[in-house]
Amino acid sequence: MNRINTAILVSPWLLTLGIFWVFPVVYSLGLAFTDYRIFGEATFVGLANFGRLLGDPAFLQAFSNTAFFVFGTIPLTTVIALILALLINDKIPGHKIFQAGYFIPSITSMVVIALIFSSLYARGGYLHLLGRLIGFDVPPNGYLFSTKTALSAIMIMDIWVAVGYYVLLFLAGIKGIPEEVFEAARLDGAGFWRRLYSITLPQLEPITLFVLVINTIRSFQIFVEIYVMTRGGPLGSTSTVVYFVFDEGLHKFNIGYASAAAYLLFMVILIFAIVQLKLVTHRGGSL
Amino acid sequence: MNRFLAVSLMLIISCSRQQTTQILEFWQFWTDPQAKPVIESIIDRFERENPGWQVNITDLTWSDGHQKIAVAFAAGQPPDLLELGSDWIAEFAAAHALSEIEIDTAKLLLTTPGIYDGKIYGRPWFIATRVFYFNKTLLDKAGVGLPRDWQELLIACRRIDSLGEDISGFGANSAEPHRLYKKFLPFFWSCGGEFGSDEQFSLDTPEMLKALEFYGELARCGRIELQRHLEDEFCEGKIGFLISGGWLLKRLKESPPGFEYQLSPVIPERAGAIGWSFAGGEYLVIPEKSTKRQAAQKLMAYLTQYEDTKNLCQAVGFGFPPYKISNPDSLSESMATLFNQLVNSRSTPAHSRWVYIENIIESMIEQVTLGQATPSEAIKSAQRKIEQTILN
Repeated sequence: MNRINTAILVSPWLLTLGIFWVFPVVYSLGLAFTDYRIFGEATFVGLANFGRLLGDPAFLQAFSNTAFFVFGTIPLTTVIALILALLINDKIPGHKIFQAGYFIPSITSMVVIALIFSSLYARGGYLHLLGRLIGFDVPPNGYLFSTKTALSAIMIMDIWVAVGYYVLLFLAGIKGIPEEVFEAARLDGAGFWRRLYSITLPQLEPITLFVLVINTIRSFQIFVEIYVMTRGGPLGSTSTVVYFVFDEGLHKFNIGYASAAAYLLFMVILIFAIVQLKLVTHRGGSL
Repeated sequence: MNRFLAVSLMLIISCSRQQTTQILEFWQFWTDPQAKPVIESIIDRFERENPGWQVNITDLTWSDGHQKIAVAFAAGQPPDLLELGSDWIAEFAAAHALSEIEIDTAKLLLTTPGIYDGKIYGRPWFIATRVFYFNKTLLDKAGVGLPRDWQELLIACRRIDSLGEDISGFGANSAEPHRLYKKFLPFFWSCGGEFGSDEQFSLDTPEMLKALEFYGELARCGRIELQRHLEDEFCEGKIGFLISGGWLLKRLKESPPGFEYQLSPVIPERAGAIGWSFAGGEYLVIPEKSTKRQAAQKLMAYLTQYEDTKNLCQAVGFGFPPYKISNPDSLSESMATLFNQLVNSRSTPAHSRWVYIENIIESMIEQVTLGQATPSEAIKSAQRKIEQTILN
């Protein structure tokens, strides 16, 4: 009877999961091996979509942009978040305000943030004017209309948005380190840097790896910023793999081809996640 | 007992009413607070005059309406009557998703976008075009008159651009999907450009080269921006010349700027020739899978009556009914410029894969305006893409 009750109680969630998650995932895997366009029948094409992707300059550009985004933002986000968490933990005056302030961008709609930054980056926008004032060689039509600066501008915004969430994670990790360990180290004459290298950073290893894993997955899936700010332009310089999937699938209706691109991205993320998980378990940690 | 009978009678009446009321699904894009009440009042009137019919209106947006429509067609669940942008009809007609309609085209303007492969699929509902807006105050400051040909336009833009760092001669669109090509094609058509037939669709023509070289020159003495930013900056008096539609005129009338502005027909390559513009518009179509085609056709005719389309245009503040009206003299000077341009406006070719072609054209223009390729290189590259992905 208990089993029946349990089954009844979890069935709404299971049904939702099955219909809206498992079914589309499995169905799109099947579509990745077809030439399905939204009108007409699907024909099995084997691995042709995957082969075509590897020779498609638009996909390769999107993939390289995504890789640049991931490897450009993750180290900076992690380091900045860690530094800010350490500063807040030291209870500097007004640390509560800083803590809330850093977190606000993380809970603000990305569409709103992207629109605000679009104005700041535009010709005559505050950041454009600031760049000129400092003496940078700023693009005449704003940062988002130059193939050289558009992606970097979005990356800077993304770091600003993401940092707050990781600050909280690091802060929770730091608070979890027993105070006695620090006291013992102080008694032994360890200074700030010594305590940081010998106690704080090693103790934060599981949190750091967790931050890396979720930040990697999130960064590989960047889409909203691109859609709102540049639509992949100028000339594909900000196109990412998820934007490519969106464009092929929902704009050009090459559903089979877009599914194949989505699964390639899934494989890449999976490999990264496995490597990171192996690192954790190898060092005896757990997520 | 009496109470039981009364309840039973009421139930029977309500059931019979439900059975006789038929639903007509209508998907449309007019969502702004000025236009929506006009649409609703027309629909109310239609329902009153056609008892037994109820029209369900579903609102779409231009940002994702195309996707929703395509998905509805693919799922076999389209509405009974549907509003489409002029350049989408060929795509859906080629996929056998639309039903052929019978309309009298003699009194209508711009019927060609509704025609695919010689058959009529769409009825024009609301039509509009784009013209040149120029800042007369900046033109006077630069000491130049209203240009009559491309050479004079370029000189005027350069002079205005040199007036100050914050001032631009020309407002060039960045590669916003569905927008940039509408601003560029007037130059292509105005120097005699043609795309050729479906099978021999070509971008690699001397006219395309000429138009692209000229547009690149204009962009260099102007600013490249999103349409909405260009319009903001024109209203602030920072741009000399801009191509835009009637919506900008409405905005300028509602908040008069601190400078003198004027509208001009598209400036042709040579003085005295016709400057062609892009004709856009909304068309009504009936999906092939609709089971209520006759009623949908009736609603289509009802919505597109001259007076109602006129009311819609007045509520929106721009655009024209798709009828060959007899007295454009009653229009204001600016509206007359827009109307006269409408007569010299063209639509994009009714190509089933126009959505992809426009994407290639926009990328080609962007390569030139951003200095990533010469016009000749950009055209060759775009033509290769057309041959690889569209024509094969």
